[in-house]
Amino acid sequence: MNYFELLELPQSFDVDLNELEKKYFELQRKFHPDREGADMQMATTVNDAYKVLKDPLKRSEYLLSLDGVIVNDESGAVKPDKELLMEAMEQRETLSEAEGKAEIESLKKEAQENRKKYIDELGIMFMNGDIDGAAKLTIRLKYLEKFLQEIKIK
Amino acid sequence: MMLLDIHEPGQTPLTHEGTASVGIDLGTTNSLVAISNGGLQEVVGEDGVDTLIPSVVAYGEDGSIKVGREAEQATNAIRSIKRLMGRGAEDTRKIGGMYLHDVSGSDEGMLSLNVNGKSISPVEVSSEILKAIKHRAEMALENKVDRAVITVPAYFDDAARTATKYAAKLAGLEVLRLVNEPTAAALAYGLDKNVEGIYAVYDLGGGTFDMSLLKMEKGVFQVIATGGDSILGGDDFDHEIAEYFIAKYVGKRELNPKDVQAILKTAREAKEYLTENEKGLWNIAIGEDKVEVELDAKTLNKLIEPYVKRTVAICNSTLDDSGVTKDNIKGIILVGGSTRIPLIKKEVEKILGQKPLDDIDPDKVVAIGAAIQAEALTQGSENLLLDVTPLSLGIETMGGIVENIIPRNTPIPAFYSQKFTTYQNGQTGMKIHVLQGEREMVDQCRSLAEFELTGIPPMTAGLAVVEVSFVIDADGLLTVKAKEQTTGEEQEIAVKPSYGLPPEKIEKMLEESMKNAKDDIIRKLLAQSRVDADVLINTVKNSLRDDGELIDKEVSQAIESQLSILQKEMKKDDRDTIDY
Repeated sequence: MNYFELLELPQSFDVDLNELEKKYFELQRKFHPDREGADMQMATTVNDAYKVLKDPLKRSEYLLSLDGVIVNDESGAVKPDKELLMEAMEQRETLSEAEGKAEIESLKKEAQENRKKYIDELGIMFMNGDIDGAAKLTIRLKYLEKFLQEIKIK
Repeated sequence: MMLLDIHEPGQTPLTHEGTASVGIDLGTTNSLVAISNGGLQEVVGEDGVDTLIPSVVAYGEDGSIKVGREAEQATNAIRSIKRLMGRGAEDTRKIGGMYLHDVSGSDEGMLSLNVNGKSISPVEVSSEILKAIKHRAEMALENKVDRAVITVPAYFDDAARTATKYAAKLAGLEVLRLVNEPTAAALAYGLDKNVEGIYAVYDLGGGTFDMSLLKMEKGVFQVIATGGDSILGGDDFDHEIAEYFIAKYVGKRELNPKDVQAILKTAREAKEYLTENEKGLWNIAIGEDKVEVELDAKTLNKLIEPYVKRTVAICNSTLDDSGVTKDNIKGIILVGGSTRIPLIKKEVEKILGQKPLDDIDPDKVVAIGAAIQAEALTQGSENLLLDVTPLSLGIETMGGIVENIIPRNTPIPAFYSQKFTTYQNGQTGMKIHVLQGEREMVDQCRSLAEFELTGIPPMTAGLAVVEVSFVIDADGLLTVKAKEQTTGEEQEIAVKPSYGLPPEKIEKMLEESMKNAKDDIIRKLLAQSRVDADVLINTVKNSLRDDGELIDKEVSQAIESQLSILQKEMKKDDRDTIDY
């Protein structure tokens, strides 16, 4: 089942989050196990669709998968290039050497700014049908999200 | 202040099918039961006053079981059993070098308590509390109570949730839904006030801490994020105070379990007293001695500060997780008796940037919310509750690393499936280990289930494909299914819970409790027959004495002999002969 169709949204990287939430609540009112028309399978699918469409990285991965491009997990067809791997390693090194709150905060701020930039660029790429570019940038975003997680743990 | 509708006993309107559904706050220290009817909630009390039921169970040597206030006085009373739900023996705590309960692990790795030489599981103890609650509700409502919404800490893991459900089943209650405590609290506030926006719930109970963020909008209650610690609560404060008393005042005196209980009790009293006072003095009887102890608010704050700091850290990480900033928060709801402590109120205000709401009694707010949800689930409601998983679910991969498959704060019901393949030629079995927790290594997470998938057709490595699916239902409980794809056959898998009671044992316990219930009825009926017989004997004897001359001597002798037979039979236990 196409998640965009399920939530009655246009198939696009740009999602109106308010509209998404509205549709999500509407569908759960219908299918949630607590309701009269309970449908566990549908309630579960709707939850998954909401989760995927809400998050820019998951949404991007999903859009690519609809085009037959798999960037998810190790078995994916599109692999990170050397340049990205080197960058990620350097980033991690900087983080492990970072001392004090201020230094970590500035790393975090930089990563968050990059994240926002990537998301904006992804929107343009999808709009222009640049699937290859979007796939590459999605992997980049994925590494960045991982890095942000690591900052949080530290 | 929320209006509670108080009915005269017996006048509470009946719910459908002639049975009532209640909301139960099964707490670490105290439990509460409430009912909602037509949108009005009432906490069920005893004689309309005593609403809190201490979560204390005492097993007498004669086999008697006491629950609540009357159990509190017993020397070997079992307290805070909720902390041990779904846990292993290593989770219990020591105080003054002594374990609070005499515990042992069993073959399933689950924990049991040694009471009067018998081994009793936390599920059984908890079911005694639930039975007492059910009984109280039935007395007050004059109606059978067989269904309930029971609240659990948001941070309860799968094992603890399953254990709670089993306890309810043992007590004869069908669980309509397990609802997270902070969510229930928000329901209590939300329905009353028609609020909209994001609310933070700070819930510090006796044994657990939960911090949740909820979005309330047009009748939909959406839990955005939840975080917490399943072994952090008011009990820890008591223990710290008790350890302080022992170190400072008790000195080298030998302590027995009774002394430890007495010290803990004083610690609790001191904590509550210092909510409104600056300092106090207490006397504790230890052996022959009377020990005088002193505590002031400043020392108390210092003792509990590390725990309060931990709650603050959890609040911050939950906010971080959800991307919600404190400026987005419209209100803060306080839950749990421990939130009365001034230091906690102050800290909460500091981290969340505003004064918390406390206009519903923090002890009652969860039970009220549970009652609202019980009504919604049985009578239908416009409101809908959308909850999330509190903890991540993962499976063990090579090298003892946990691969996260359903991250925490995923909306439930949730589903995940993954394909596995064999790594050896001709391999016919596969071990799958399911874990819950946020850490990366297997030994840092809680093991939920470990099972062996057998009967995979022998093939070249990597050819057999097994699809394993994980389903988390609306109670937050997990089921695992596995399917071998080349043969298309669904595989039988035995999920062996590492903690909690296996289903067969529950069945056996249920059977036994049914049998006991039958024995109880027989005993009661026997007593009734004896009373009836007594009345009969007296009536006949009186008649013989007063009007004996009116009948033949032969007849009166026959009556006398029948009476003596009856008197003999009464000493035996056969009800049918007495009735005859």
